[in-house]
Amino acid sequence: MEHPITEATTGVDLVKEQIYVAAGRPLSFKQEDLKQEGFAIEARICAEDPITYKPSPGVIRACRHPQGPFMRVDSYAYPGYEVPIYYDPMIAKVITWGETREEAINRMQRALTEFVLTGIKTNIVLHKTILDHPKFRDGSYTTQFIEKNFEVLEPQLFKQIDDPVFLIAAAITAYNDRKSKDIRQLNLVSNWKRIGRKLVLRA
Amino acid sequence: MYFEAEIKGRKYKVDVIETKGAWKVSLQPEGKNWNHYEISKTDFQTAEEYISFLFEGQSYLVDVIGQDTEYTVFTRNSFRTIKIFNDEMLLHRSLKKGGGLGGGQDLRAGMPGKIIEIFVKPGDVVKEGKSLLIMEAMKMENEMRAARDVKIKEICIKQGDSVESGAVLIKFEEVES
Repeated sequence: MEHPITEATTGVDLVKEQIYVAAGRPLSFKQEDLKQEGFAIEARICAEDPITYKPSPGVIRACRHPQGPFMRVDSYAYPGYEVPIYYDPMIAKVITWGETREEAINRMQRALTEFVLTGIKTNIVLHKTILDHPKFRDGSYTTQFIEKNFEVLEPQLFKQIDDPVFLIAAAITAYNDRKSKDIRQLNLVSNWKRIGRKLVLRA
Repeated sequence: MYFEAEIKGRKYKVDVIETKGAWKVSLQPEGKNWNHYEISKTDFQTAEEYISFLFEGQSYLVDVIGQDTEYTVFTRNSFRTIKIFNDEMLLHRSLKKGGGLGGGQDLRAGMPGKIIEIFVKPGDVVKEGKSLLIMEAMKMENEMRAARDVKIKEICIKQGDSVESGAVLIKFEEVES
């Protein structure tokens, strides 16, 4: 079990306990003290292409983490940080809690919608697509979920936003880029012309 | 300004007109009718590094990276890579097509990484499917294989090199039959 999940449902700080145990102290609680409450879910945010699953290291540009109640974000991402090629591609973990499994999943959906991360490809959109899938929702999925549902998942990844949003943004940017390179914009007037005019006006 | 754009294999004709207070963008998906969008400049504003875009009643935080002919647009954790050409480039592209050797003359890195091992040397003739090299990125080793029967013309990297995405790794030439 992922430790943040256990921590969310039991309220025990596992890493702190581990350090105490390593220092020779006994555990601060007994099995019968533990009470599990509600449901928790964790999404691992990785720098990878959500379609090909290839790693996508690079520089993070915009980064805004989700906020709100019943949520934990363990992350080292910030704007300008370069995700290096040397380590594994995980950059953040998002954990949400709910009284029911459905509530935890809904909170995760909301958290992932709020997560802003640009500059590198991430699997956030893949998580969102999986969370929406009926098989995931009713709990009948297996470890072969991605393999078996790839054909269904892949087009869903692109359904979230329509082409015009991307095209308009790219077209306006391309327009501005080309306009700034166009020397006619600089209003350069030939010095010959300027002097010529001056002489004529003097006469 | 007139462009031709490609997004996920779909082709569009694009026209951008700038007025004092608005962007007029027209899009025509291949074989379909033109759609015209008028976007007030107050709905498309650059804030810090990214663009705040209000479109059809929805708010998008958009980030556009790239230059010349290829832009990657990020929004709401989705992204698309868009190829975009204007008139001049369309001309250059059609000229290039005439004299080129045709695609697939080199092996390129699909992602940034480090070269772990190279299995071939210049002059080798390799069969389709043979391992050419191993590249490592993010603790994952990726084996790159020949997509068809080729002769190795030049190896542009050496063992231990770090390479950028898109870098040419190996140049090929056709196998003489």
